[in-house]
Amino acid sequence: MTSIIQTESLSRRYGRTEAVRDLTLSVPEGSIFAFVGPNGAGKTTTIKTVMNILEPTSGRATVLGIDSRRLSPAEFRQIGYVSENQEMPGWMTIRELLNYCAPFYPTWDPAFAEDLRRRLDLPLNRRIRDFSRGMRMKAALLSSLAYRPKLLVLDEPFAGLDALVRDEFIQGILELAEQSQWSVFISSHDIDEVERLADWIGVISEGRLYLAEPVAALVGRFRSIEATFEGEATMPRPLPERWLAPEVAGHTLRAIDAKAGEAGGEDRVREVLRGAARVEMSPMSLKAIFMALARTFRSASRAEGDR
Amino acid sequence: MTAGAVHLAWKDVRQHRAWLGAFLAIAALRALLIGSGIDAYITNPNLLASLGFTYLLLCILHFALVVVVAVQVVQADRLVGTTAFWLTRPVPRRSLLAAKLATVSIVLVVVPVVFDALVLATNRMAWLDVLGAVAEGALIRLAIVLPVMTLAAITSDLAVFVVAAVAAFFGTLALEAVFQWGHMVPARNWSSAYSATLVDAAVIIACAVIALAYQVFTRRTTRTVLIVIGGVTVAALVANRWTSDLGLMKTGLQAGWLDPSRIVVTMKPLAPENVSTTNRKRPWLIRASYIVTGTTANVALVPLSVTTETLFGDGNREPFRAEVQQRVWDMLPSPPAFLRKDLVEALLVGTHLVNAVEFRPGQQMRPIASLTEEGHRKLVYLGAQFTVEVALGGIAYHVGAVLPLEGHGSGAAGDRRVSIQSATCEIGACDVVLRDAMAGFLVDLRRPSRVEYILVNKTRGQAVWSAERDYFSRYPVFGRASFALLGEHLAVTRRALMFKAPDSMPDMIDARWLQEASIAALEVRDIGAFTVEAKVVQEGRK
Repeated sequence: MTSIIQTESLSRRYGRTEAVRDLTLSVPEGSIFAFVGPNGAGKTTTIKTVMNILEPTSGRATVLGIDSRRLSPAEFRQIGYVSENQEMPGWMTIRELLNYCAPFYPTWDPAFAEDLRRRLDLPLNRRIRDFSRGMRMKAALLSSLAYRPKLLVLDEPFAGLDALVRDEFIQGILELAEQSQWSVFISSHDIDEVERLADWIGVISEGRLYLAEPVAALVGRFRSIEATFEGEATMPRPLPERWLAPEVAGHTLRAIDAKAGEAGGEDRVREVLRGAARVEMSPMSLKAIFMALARTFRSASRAEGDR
Repeated sequence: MTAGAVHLAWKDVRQHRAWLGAFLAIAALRALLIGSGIDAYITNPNLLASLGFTYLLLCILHFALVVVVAVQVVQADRLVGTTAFWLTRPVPRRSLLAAKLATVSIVLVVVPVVFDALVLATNRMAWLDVLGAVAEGALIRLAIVLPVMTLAAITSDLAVFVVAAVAAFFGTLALEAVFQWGHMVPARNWSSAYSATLVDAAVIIACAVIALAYQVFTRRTTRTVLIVIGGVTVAALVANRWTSDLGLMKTGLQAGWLDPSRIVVTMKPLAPENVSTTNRKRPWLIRASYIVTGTTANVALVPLSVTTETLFGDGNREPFRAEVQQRVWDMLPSPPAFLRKDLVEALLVGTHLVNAVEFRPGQQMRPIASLTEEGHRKLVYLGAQFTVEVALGGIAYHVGAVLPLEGHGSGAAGDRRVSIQSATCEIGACDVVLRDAMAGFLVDLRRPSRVEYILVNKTRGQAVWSAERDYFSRYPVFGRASFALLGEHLAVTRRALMFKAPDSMPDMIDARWLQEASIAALEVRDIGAFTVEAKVVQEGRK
């Protein structure tokens, strides 16, 4: 598996704040990688470091096989970048934006750009500064796709977009993904936004990467457990490490097992809960997994902070 | 410049076309105002004042737009922060730097300098002056525009830029104070002061370009700020401590002016005026006259000091030096300016400058020396031999434009164009307003000559020195006053002169005299002091 983005022990500090800590990540080529985490988790800092907008404090990142600090125009010709934080040349119309961007990219396809513009429903002669936020993001996407980049980096592209625009945006990316052999690295704080898109997922919280794997594998191994006991339910001791968010209420114990979907995983769960009258294990949605992970990471982080 | 840089520069031009258009319009309007010489036709002082105010306003706007345009162009592709559009686009940093430098240089430096050149050319300045002014103008504009660009490169927007500019200004003042502390500032002559100014400009330009390039290529703002601080320190150091003269100023005598090696002064000692009162306690005055020969025609010389060596009968020699109380010099009108010699230029042949102090060859001068020893007196009369060295101070002049009192013609006088704006004459007196325009330079001291004006009636062979003069446009209508605001290089000054008949000849200037009168502009050049060996011709009593 070739990595289109790779980081090794990447760290970035802002004064005393460590925004990204020792982050090692590999984004496989051809994947749509969702990089999710709560606000302030370090997603944008990671992306900016990868894109050589920021310098890493330590560690390194490579993009398209090149050290991020040495990214040159040759690499940027193969990378599309759309970010909620990116300034767009508001004084330009869409026509002017396309005319301005086209000479930088040898692979710029005017017909494709026009096709995209129609699909994204962007008026040709209106100034970008007069656009709504959603239209500005679509304009950024248009200017980042028209040269068929090898890698598309989207940093919180859906933030503040209404549902309709978001759907159009996602639809556009999905259609293009089917047409082109490309990799997409997309960050979001809302798993709902990327659930339809992603085939890989990485979860970051407080600057640390907690997991990075294919969505199918993740969904496949996570199970929500509900065990009913004859008497009062009790927490098994010791609590399995793979369990997240265990809770007991009356006769019922609920937990999430991070490995129950693996071979023999359900048996291991039943072994732990052998005193239960009934054990039900059900697959989880990506959102439910993310929420459970986010809560767990936050608790762990607070506990670490308290220490 | 690469195609990419041109593409980026064109983007900047289109983005800021409103600002650039405003700047170019103001620069053109200003050039038109100053270049047209419209003020030469306006005699109403109120209208002139309004015009001067308008021009000053244009200069302030011009400067403000220079700053705004430079900042806008640089910050259009912001070099600080993490949100700029260009950061994730295949924009070569070399091209970005070249584009910014080209856009700003062409619009804010080249175009105004071309306007400068056109203004100077239409005012018929000498091409050497035009070249010099244009080169100096480009240098100074770059020394202002590039630091503005650098400051813009390390700030995120115009508001932050203004704060940083204010901080930089006071920081520079503090540095200046440090470098001027006590007696640290070395003495400099005009030429080395001019060299220091130009070297300082070059240092500022170099430091600004280095800092700007560093910021574009690395975006390490903290280090760029350190480079800027270093550059400002070096510039302040150069401005205050540079003493070398790079020979950039025109000094010395030009062809056609005085050649000191050709000067011969012949001294003729005269008898003492009052021998009986001479004693050891009271200096005894010797009078003498001298003749200066071998000079170019248009040079007036006055002795400043005399060094004598007396050869006694027993073979002993005694040197003696005395400062000459040169009364002719002291009696000159203030400022001492023009001494006419006979038989100079064709214009003045036979013309008698009636109310100026004249200085003629052979004129008596007193004293050559003060002798305090009685023995010397005797020796003088016994025919002791003298060798005399005379230190001379001189003024040389060329006759420039000769303009009739009526009409708006103009003519060249030295390095300027002179025209008469108005002449109001009545019997016995004449008020004349003159306008002179010249290529302005950063250091006014660079100008080696000045121009003086006389009212001449060639037919009558008479000329009148101005009795009063008032350069009431000390801050001229156009030009020099606004230099600090990147003004034009054409400096225009209005001069009000009053000529009147001498008290001894009150009826000299009559209506007919005025009909034949013209204004002559004389370029006057101080040729400094030098020493010549004088031949002594003794004709005194023995």
